[in-house]
Amino acid sequence: MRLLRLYPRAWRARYGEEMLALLEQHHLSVRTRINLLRGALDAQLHMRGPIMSGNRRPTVRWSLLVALLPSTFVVVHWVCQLYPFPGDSTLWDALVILGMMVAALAATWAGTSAQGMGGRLPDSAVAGGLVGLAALLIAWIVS
Amino acid sequence: MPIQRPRASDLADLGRFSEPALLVLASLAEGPKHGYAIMQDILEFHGARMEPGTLYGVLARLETRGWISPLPIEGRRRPYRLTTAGAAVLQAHLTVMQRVVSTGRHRLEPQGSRSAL
Repeated sequence: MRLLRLYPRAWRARYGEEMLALLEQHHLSVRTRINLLRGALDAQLHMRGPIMSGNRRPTVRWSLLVALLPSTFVVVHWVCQLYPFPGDSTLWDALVILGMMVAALAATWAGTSAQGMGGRLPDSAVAGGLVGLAALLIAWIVS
Repeated sequence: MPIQRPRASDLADLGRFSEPALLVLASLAEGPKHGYAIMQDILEFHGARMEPGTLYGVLARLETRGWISPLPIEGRRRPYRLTTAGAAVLQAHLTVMQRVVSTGRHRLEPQGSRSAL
């Protein structure tokens, strides 16, 4: 079953054999194939790691990722202040603001994605926001 | 460690998987079943055909949350059973649904027959 190859390796190791056994009894309609494609995409986005009962690992992973994004842009902004861009510095400021907006969107997306896999929106977004604020505070104190 | 009471909204946290998850939990409330048996049971009591991609997306989420647990594999099939936590979440959700159903039915009754009661 080629479509199962689209699922992450950890997923196939855990569910591959039983899913294959199920598919052998199931009529493979177009609807089923589309559903499997959608399932593979979902698994690739949310279940790449080892699948363990009752754990909350995805939340931790997403929180770290979300926390890194705002921090990265704060560091970039700080470096830009130390080494000014030759020419119009407002361009850099605009880029940093844009970056922060992208980071905020990514935080919301990551939090939403973590939902249903043991994660909740506040877990990721709050963690990301707090670390981002901490990085901003450190950058302000140092500068 | 404080014990958290199950809430009906726990299921809603699963987003688009909340309704299929409810059906899977209701199916497993009868006893352990493997994937194909869950699909057949849902088709019987609900009338909807759950596709394999959705079913395994739900099973993974329920297992991660500790609401179902896998049993030893039988041939190539693995049965799943409802855990105590899963039963509590299902019970909480059904209680809310029951309230919605009785309220909805009551409000749909014609005004005259309601006032006659």
